[in-house]
Amino acid sequence: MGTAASIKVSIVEDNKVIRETLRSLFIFEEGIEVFTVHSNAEDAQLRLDGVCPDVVLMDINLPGASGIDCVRSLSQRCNGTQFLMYTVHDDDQRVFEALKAGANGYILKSSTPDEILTAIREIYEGGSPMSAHVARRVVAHLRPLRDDTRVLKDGLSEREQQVLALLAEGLLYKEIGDRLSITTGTIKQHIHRIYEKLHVQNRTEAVNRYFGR
Amino acid sequence: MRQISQPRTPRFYFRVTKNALVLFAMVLNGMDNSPAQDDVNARTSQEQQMTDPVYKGQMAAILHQMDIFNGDSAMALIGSFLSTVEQDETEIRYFLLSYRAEVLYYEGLFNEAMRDLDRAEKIAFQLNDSLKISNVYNMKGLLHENIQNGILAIPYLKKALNWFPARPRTQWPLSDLHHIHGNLGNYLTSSTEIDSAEYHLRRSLALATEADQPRAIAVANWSLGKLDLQQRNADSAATHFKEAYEAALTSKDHDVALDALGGKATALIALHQFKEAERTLTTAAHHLNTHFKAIGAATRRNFARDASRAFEDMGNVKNALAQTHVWRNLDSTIAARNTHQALATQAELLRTDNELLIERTERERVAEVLRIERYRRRMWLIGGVLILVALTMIYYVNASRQRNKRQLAESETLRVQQAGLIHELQLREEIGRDLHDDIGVGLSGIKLRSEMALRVEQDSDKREQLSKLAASAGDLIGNMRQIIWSMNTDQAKVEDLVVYTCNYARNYALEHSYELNVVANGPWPERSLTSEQRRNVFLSVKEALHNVVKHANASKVTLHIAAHSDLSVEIADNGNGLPEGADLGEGNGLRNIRKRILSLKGRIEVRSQNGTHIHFSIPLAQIGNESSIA
Repeated sequence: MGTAASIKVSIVEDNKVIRETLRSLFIFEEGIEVFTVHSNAEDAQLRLDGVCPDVVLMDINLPGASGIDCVRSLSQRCNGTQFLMYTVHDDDQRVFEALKAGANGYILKSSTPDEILTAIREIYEGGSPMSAHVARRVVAHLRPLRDDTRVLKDGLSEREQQVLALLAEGLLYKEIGDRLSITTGTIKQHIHRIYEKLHVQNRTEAVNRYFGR
Repeated sequence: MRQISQPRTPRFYFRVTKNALVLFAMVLNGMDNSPAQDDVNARTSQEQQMTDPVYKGQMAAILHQMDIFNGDSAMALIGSFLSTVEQDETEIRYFLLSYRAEVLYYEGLFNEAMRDLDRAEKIAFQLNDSLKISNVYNMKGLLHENIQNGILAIPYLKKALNWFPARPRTQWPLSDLHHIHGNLGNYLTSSTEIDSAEYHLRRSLALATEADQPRAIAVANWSLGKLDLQQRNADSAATHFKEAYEAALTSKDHDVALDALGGKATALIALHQFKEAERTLTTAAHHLNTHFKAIGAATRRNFARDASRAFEDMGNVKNALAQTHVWRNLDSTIAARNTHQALATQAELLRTDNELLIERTERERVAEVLRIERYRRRMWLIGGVLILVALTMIYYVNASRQRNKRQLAESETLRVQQAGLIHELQLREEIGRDLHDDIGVGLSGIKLRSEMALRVEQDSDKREQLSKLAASAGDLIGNMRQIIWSMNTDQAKVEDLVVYTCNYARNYALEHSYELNVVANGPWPERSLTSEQRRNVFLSVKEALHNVVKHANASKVTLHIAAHSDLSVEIADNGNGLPEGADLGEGNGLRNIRKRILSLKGRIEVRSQNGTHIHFSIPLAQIGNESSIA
């Protein structure tokens, strides 16, 4: 506990039971330490100023500003911080919005403590999950921009596109791994990069929009 | 021969009958030695071509009043007749104007008479009727003689002679040719053109004789007698006066007879046959006494004057004074009556003119009222038609507007209903999501707490309870997520259902360690499914896969989804198959699947041969609103 290798995790969760359970989960977990705990977005934005955790486990549905808003603002100041959205359902439009805004992954609230810990470690190491639903949204989002040169330059690699396509079909990581002869870990890294490109894409889109392009 | 030296002769060569002329002579000639020269329009009765019995009656009444010299009545009748005659009935107007001029002439109102004759002249020329023109000129000649002097009358009478047609035809009596010759002869007598005078008088006599008009014959003879007296041809004069007397007796024209006797006496005195003259005067006096009522005052006065001079010439002073007395009395009476008559006639003329004006105004007013009434009726009719048209149009416009309104209201209602439905769906989705959020968070908390507890709990009973709790919470969360998903309008496409279902099946297969072969290749119809369709199809697949795990003991499962006009799903396993008789009392799972598929009007087929084979399909065409297939 408290070693240099520990992943500093901040929790933003308004449900007290879950918040405290997570806190206790992380406190007792080796390699993970609780950086800050917040019950709302405003508190997180206020206190995570000049200090950045490694991973933020972020509830989407918060009183006041949403988790998405919180991610958008925090991701600007904390470059290396990974944002893991903590959500009731993964087929929510809001999950995709959060991913565009700067989140690097998500995990369902129905996940077991082990799954949560795994997810935190994976994301910290540059691996992200992606459900079929989110994959299809990403595909749908990128499709109309395909002809744009900037998007092509910043676009997805061939492997990333393959992974994305298979995810969108509803295949599991294992099946995709079998088909592409890559490990689940590699797949998750591809997904991670896809998210990063989505952020860039999103920012470019914002700039383009700003200049009226 | 003073009598002869006063040659102003009567102007009674008009139309009409002897009685009229007698009175004319009396009225007009006043003190003049003017015997009542008769003249009768020969064509008076024969040539009248009455067109209108009412006109005929009215005109006959006027002529009668004129014949009996009832000037007032004649004026009144003519006046009322004229007021009813339309402006365009020119011929009848001509006769009425001509007759009124005649009456006015009798009354001594020459200017008024001339006014009517001017109008009559215009009409006569309009009608281009030479007889009527001739008649006007004859009468104008007579009038001019009275207005100015006899010389000015002659050109008119000559014109009358010239205009007189060869075959005169007239509805009502007008001047005849012998009238004109007679008048002309009389004027010429006074203007010393004796030869011409004699010619015309003889012509008049010849014409009258030819037409067998005794009064005209008598008057012509009387005129000739007068001419002879002027020429001091007393012998011839006496003969003419004698013939005049005889003719007048024949026609019972007692006034002319008296005049003739007066003339004869004068002629006899000129011949110095005093006894004969006295006898003649006695006869005359007797004649006067016998026919006193038939002889007018003027004639009597003239006779008295002639007789007075005759007695004077014969030296019978007593008789001369007596006749002079009679003469003066009659003269003043006639003068007084003439003045009275003239004033009365003038008043009557003014009155009738006024009445005429009033009547005309009244007629014009009535005509105007009628015109306005007609106009008003027409306006009402047009207005009514317009109003009717307008009302009809308003009705149709209103009806169509009502229809439009109704349609609009219906479509609005529909829109509102749809909007309401959409809103309801959105609300349902929102509520579902919120509920899921809340319950999901709560259940997640329970699950997380349970699993956290499990990590440290050593007691097996408690561990079992905790894991059951966690599993139940997890199941609940999962079920809820599936329901929320099925209600999500964002996930309504066929492809959404296919991907979701396959993803579930894959995860389930991974969890339960059997091999799953998914055959689900697009492209998929671009069509939305209802939440019932999505939920029932998904839950049917879930149920079937659950059965596989629970009962079939299979190692391999194939999930085959295809969509064209139907959405077709096949789930086949290599397990035990269904137990014998399971078709009848299907297990809960299979019964639920059947129920779900039938509720979607789908078909289901279950076979048990080398494992279990479930195939169901639901129609897409019925539900989808966009039927294009991508």
